[in-house]
Amino acid sequence: MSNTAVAHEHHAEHPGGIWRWISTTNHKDIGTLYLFFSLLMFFVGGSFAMLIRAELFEPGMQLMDPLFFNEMTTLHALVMIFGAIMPAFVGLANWMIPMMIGAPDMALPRMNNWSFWLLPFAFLLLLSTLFMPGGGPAGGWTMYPPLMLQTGMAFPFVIFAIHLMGISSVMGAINVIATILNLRSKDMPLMKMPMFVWSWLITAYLLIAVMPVLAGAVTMMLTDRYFGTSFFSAAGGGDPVLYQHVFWFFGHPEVYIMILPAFGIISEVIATFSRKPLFGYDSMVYAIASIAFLSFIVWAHHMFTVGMPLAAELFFMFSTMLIAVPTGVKVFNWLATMWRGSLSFETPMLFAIAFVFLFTIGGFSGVMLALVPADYQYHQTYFVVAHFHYVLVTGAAFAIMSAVYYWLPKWTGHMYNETLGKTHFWLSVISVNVLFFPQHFLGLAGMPRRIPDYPVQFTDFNMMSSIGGFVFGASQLLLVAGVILCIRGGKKAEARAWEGAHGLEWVLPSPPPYHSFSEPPPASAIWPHPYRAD
Amino acid sequence: MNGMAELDAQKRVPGLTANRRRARRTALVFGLIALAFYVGIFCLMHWRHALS
Amino acid sequence: MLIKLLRSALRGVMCMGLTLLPVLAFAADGDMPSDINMPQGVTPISHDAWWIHMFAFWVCVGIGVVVFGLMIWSIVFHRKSAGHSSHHFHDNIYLEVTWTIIPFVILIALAIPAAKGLVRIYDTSEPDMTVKITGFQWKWQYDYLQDGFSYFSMLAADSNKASRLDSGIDPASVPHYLRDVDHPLVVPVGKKIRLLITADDVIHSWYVPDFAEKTDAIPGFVNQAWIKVEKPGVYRGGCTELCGRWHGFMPIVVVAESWDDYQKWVAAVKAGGGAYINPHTLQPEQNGSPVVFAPAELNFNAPTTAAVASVPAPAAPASRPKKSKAPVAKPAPATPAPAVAAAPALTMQTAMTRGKQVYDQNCAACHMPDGKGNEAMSVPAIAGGPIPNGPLAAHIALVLHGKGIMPAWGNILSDKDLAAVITYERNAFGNHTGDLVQPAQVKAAR
Repeated sequence: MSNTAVAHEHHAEHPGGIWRWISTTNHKDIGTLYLFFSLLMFFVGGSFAMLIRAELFEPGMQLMDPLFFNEMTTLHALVMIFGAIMPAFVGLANWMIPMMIGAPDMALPRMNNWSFWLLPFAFLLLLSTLFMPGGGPAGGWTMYPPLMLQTGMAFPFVIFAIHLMGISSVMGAINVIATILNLRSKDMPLMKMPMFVWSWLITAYLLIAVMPVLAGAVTMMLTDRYFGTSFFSAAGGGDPVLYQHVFWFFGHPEVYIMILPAFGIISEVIATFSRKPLFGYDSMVYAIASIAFLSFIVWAHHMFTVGMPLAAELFFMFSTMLIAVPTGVKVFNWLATMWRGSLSFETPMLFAIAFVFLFTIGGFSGVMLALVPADYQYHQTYFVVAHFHYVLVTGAAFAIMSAVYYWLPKWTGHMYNETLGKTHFWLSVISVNVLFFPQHFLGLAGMPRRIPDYPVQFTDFNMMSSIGGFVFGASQLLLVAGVILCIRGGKKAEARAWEGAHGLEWVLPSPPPYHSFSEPPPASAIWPHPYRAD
Repeated sequence: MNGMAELDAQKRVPGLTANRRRARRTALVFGLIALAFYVGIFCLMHWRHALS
Repeated sequence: MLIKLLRSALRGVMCMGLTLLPVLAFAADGDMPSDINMPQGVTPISHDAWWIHMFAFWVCVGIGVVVFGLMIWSIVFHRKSAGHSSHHFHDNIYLEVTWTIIPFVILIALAIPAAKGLVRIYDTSEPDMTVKITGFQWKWQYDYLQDGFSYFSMLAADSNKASRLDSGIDPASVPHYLRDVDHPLVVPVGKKIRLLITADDVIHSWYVPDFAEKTDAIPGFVNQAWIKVEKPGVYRGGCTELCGRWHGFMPIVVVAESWDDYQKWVAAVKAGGGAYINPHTLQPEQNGSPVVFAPAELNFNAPTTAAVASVPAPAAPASRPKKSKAPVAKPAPATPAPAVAAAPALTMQTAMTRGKQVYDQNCAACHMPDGKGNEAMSVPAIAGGPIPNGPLAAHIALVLHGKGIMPAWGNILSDKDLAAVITYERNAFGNHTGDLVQPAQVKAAR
């Protein structure tokens, strides 16, 4: 079919070398750039985490000043969220969405280029603050005033970096929406789109709605400090808690921005390796949409202890608990997809199954955190740290790894080394639990988060956690090795690299041609749709 | 010339020209929405400030 | 040791449902944490929290057993390598509705006790007494509103020393490392105590696990909470909102005593002339900051010609500078006032002494103890700065009304303290304006 297009491939001049990457407008090149950037940031943010875990290995201050520790926790979060997880998902979107909907490229290729190339500068700016007088940002990634206003020289640079990241994300999201809505194959109605595409469409709406709010919040803090306003200063008639409301109005949807595309990936992977259509396609779409809607009305559950009125606390408690319903639907649907399938356990499937298990554990602690009287105990302790790392590391990051192994054969044209992949998986999944599971106990025993030193009774679990952390960090080198080896060679991958895989991306050869579908895919490639046997 | 423009010029994908025009319009709309949210949050805060 | 370890391990398994045996086996030596579950605590609220926590936990375990059980079943029996072929079902509306409704019902079952508990937490009515708690970077101030005295509580000296980078002191050798303070909060058992919680600089959060009491301390706002301690004892906690460099080093210790013992302690504090009274021994503590008595300190605006001369007895030690390392300030009569107009409320000497205290407590965090300011934070220097050496009216106005990150101190400090600190700023750190500001001038400028 579209293989005929490959012959016409290299009409245009494509510059070589570094300039190819700087000037590229191709969705695959940009996807690759995003993914490698995210891998780099994963290691930068990871090295900060290693420092944190090293300092917390035993009580007493051994390695760093407490202020530097605070800089590490702040930058670890900012780098991992905005530098590792979000760009990884945008990279996957760039690579896969045009191929999955039968489009030749993203709708706005030049904006695509720009939205990527803002990121390296944003992070250069952010990381350069470490070397400024007064040090980097040390007020936590949530940047609550008035503490954040005590930041040194770094303050305006951090805010500018966040603006750049925000602009990049918003442009990426606009591109995704424009592509999905306008370049979809005419034979693919919305309710027949692959689940990954659906999850990204909804994520993109979330991004457009909330990134400007974050930008607004930090801009107001900027004017508070330099231009004499007092949005968040009580002394001037403002309210520091107002910042928290605005921040979490961004922050909670942001959490789902980091997990909804993961839901999409897991839906693809589990269906493929169960050799079955995804169970409950429609309810999956509605579940994602309702999670996205609910994400806008639960923000204050991050701040139950700030002294809100009772009615507000009750409202946010109930709305938060509601999220468990659509999330539960998704887990049950994955379960039903696996049920009576014909399961095989290649590396992507292993990561997907670990995702379902461990994300569910993160979901359990999430429901517990929603219950306000108990939250008074959990809030700002390591229980929360354990909760969101289960959701973000064994959730979002595992889903990304699953996606990487799943689509590597498509991207490179080679099968990855399965032994290496499985070693990476087993080392990761064991060490990540050694890393984060004891943190539940620490939190319940009352250890606050964001502290560089702790009472001696917390020593044992912290040591375990640190050792788990070091092993987890080191085992990620296997991921790098696996990816590099796969790029350089390996068993030739077929167009349909996985026996149970369905979807337009598997119709294209591996690796796919430069322009994904330079001729529209035939309707027969879409029908019968893999998700529905009708 | 970016890849999409190239393909567009080759007229191999039916309807691509119109789709790209529609896509640009979609992008503009969502870009304006994002901008409106950014300005809106300031207006909201200003209004809230005026209330208190 | 081994038995204790195994018991803790077993409890870990029971408490969290999911086991990580290699992890638990690893915990080789040292004391296991005293508890790996939420404490049941000693207040009605902490019992609620514990009950809701355990209820939610077992609900989660139940759901986990079903979900994970089915998944493991599927993984074991529906594998391709076991020759299982796939069945292509993909929709079942009854199933979908069922697993939407069941979680909903479970959530309602969880929400009811949680809502009840929450209503109880918010009922701060009819307290027997009130304590105001103020968070500072990095210490707590406890203000007994009825009894009219307050004091600061900060990290115990031995913990502080051991926690410094490369201190060479083994934290395990320090009793209650990072969980001990110089001056604990003392409360009576069996009384409903209302806590008014606020902060002076940045947001802190006052947390004692055994009370399930965690409330953010927010500058400019006062939050309410209540505790009713059921058992005498020593309860430990700490700040749980990131508040800067020494966030991890501002613990909380609460000593709960019988009403009689508490009364004795209060009486001893009142008679103690400004020294903090150890609640266990009822002996004055030599170290740490003094107890400050409210009437003398807060009513600075009282029309007092001879105010300085007739300071009530307890107030004299109270006006000692913080940390008691500077010489004790003597009441005014001991040193004749320099040439000032008749009946001043402040003399240069008292203004400078008081001003230094106010400065150290409120201004030094940003403008630095040496008055050099903080360039990185764009905080201007006092030493040689244009404002302290410029027109007096502008200086008073700036301190009163604030600007940018400079708070409006007019809302926070009394006229007398403001007059003292402005005088101090204009005559310390190498500034020599010679201006002596009187409370009346500040009052007029408000």
